[in-house]
Amino acid sequence: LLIFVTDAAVSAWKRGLHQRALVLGGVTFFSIVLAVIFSNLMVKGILPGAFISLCFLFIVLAMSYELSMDLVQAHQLANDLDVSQQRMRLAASAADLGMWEWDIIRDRVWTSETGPSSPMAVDLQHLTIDRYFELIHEDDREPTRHALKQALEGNGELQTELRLVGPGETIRWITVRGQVERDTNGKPLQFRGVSMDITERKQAEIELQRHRRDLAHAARVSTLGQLSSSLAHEINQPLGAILRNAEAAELFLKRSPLDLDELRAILADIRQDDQRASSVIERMRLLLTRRELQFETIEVGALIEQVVSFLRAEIQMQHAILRIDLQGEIPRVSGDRVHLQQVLINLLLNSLDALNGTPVAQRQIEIHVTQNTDSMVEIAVLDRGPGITSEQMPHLFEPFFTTKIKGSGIGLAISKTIVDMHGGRIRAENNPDGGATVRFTLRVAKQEDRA
Amino acid sequence: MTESKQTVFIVDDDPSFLTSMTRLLRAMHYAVASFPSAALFLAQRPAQTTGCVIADLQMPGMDGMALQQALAQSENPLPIIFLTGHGDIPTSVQAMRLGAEDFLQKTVSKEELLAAIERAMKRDIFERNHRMHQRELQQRFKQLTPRENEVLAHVLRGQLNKQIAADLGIDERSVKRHRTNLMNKLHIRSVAELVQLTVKVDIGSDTAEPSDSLV
Repeated sequence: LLIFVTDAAVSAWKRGLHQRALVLGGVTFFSIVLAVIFSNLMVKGILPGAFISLCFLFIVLAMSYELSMDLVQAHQLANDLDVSQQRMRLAASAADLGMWEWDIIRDRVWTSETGPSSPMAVDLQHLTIDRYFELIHEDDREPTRHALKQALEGNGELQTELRLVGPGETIRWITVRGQVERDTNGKPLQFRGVSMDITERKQAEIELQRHRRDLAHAARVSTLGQLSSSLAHEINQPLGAILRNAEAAELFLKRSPLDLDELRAILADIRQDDQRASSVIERMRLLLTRRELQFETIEVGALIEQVVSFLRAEIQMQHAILRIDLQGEIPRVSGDRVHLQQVLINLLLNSLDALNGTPVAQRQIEIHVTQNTDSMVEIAVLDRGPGITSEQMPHLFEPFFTTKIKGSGIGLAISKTIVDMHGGRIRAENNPDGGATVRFTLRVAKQEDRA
Repeated sequence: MTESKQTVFIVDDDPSFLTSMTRLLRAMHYAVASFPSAALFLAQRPAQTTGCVIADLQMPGMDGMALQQALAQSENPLPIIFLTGHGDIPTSVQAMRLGAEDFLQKTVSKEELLAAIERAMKRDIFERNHRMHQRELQQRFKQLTPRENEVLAHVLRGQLNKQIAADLGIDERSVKRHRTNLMNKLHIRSVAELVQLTVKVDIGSDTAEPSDSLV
């Protein structure tokens, strides 16, 4: 009993409850002194033996005081905890936040009742991390695992977005943030964090992307319509050659002896022209496909070459001369080939339109490629047309703004959207020596993409 | 009229079409000469050639239309057939208006192409003969003296010798003499023939010299 009260006193002192410690300590000291006096008096026979139990009475009193105080406090704490839990739940549900914990040592995942995981129809109380991963959309499992691993090995912070698959294949997008807690040796003990449902935001984003993609596609279709005449020319050229060769071969076959060398040469030419025609169709087909943004590593020179071969007939019809200037060694950029082709086609067609009406000797277009900074490559399309007026300048990249009779006004707006999506910037300016230049930047591909 | 064989001149910047076209026409026993550009053709073609030109409409540098104009102004214009990968109506109308023999797609059938070449060849012979005849007639008019030209102009207006003599301030016998000389030089016997001849030669557009006094 004595030990219990002493222990209570010491721990009370440690917890900073000095008054309680003093009371308990005092009672203990008093009891001991009393016991010593009583035992002396008892030995001398002044007091009867029963008096010694008086000391125990004090000790028991002190003990019950301590116990009742603890009970009151526990009750108080339970109340406080309840209130604070309610507050937290309120705050969490108001912010649409869920809370989670992963006890790494015992592999137990706990998630709060509110928040994104709640409609998942699984027993949330007995989750292991592997069971939790089964809830994640299969495409997101690997990236999430990777993010988790990085957080555990790195600075301990986790921030990622993933999809949870619920009953009936319903998909919820959630964003997860968390923090690792470690012991003094740096060994991770648990992960604790919040999650938030971002499905609506994500759907809006996807919808927006879909609209952009459709619009870009529509613009490409309309550009191809614009180019139909020159493209038909590009295809008919080899088709005509194939036809003439076939007709010539028919005539050669009637001769005797057969000129086999000539016939072989004809067949080789037919094959080559066939490939030429199909490569034009392939380029058209690529531009006509509706597609998501697919980032890849692109060589700028080759990209320009493809676009120029596509527009060759158009440029020729306008009697324009195109000069391409790649300054130094241009690193590869990261981007979507088709969309970047679209930007270049738009800019070149704009330049061609601007040159229409200027003297033939002046119909020059230049493409300059430079490495702008360590991380950016700049492509500039320059023409010697009439330039851009100060009234036009601020509206240039607005949708449906056009200066052409037949223009739709989406070319530059689409180009801006595409460049923005690539993390680049596009701007237009007048040249000091006449004409206009539109320049845009693209990100240099990262080393790891380059392999 | 000309004895040398008619040649088909092919002008196209597309090497593969140029080869195939040359191949086909040679197989059909035409004399063929091919050129990769209009400028080269104009610079290298022999001065006295007969035949026709098959040219691509769209070419870098000098295009088909420019070639047509340069040819028309030359001493030896040849009929031109335009070939195009894909032609629109306005361009074809313009080409035909400027005197193109034909305007064909490159994928046209062999038969149509040959028909066009044959028409162009015939037209070349016809126009060449016509040009030579014209030149000969013009030569006759060039032999006239200024006085004979004046008399000719008055005769064409339907004036009598007496009126002409009065207008020119010479006597009637001189007018008669000028008229006889003039008729002899132009190889004609009547005023009716004279009128026909002047209409044929179309004096005023082809030759500059007599036009001042005639009309």
